[in-house]
Amino acid sequence: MRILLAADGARQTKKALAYLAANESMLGVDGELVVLNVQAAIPSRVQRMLSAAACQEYYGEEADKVFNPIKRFLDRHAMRYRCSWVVGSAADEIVQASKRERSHLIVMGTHGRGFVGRVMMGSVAQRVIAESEIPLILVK
Amino acid sequence: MKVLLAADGSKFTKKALTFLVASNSLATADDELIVFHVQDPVSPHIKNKLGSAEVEAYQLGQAEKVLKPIKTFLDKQAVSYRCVWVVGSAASEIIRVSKKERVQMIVMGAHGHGMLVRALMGSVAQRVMADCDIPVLMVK
Repeated sequence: MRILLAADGARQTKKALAYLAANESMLGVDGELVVLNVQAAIPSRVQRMLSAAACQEYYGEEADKVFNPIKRFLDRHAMRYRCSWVVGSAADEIVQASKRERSHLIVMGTHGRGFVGRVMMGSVAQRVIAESEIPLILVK
Repeated sequence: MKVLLAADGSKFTKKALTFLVASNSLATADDELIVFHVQDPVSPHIKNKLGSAEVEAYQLGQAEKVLKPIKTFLDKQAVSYRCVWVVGSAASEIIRVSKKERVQMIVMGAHGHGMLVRALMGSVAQRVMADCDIPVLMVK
């Protein structure tokens, strides 16, 4: 099975990873795990002040901050994976990436913080559910 | 893994079953699958008129209608499962039984029989997501 893990580095990402490691057989022999991180675009006013290379470098650094602990975890569990990051709106990019990668399943955390978090789940998770056509595992 | 499948007999139930069996990990002979169905309560007014035996027979019949095709499907697979049905409010019962049975994951359709199929997500799915602490697999 091809699985897309949407990672933003929050506590829920860790739980989603633990879940995947516990159900490793879900991936199967020819399965593939793609870890996707979506970076919010730098505001255009700031972008104009920076060079394009500097922007890319910033995105890369921020993505690595998310990826490094994930890589350590997955390496320790000897799981095969691939990391990729994109810039854009989280929900749109997650749905697009799942189509591009022809994923069978999306795994993502949902932020349940405080009262609002308990009543409503994260807007990203909600939009992904609305727009994607494949099964989705939400980890709290 | 101990999984609770919330089944309402809609097309999403079918999709969820297919996914579970295809996943190679979530529903096998070694896992524990609880197929759970909730029947809406009949209003006391009608119950008084019909008599509770009549109402119980009706609810049993309705539950059988949902569970029978699932049993037929699962009997053909190497899956260990059991069916449970109760009368009550869908979201609360799904949460209550998941806790009681200590399941590790809930599987359900993002929508059920509700009218607002085009809404972001069904109301039962939303309430389950808001109130439970375990991963939820939403099938669309």
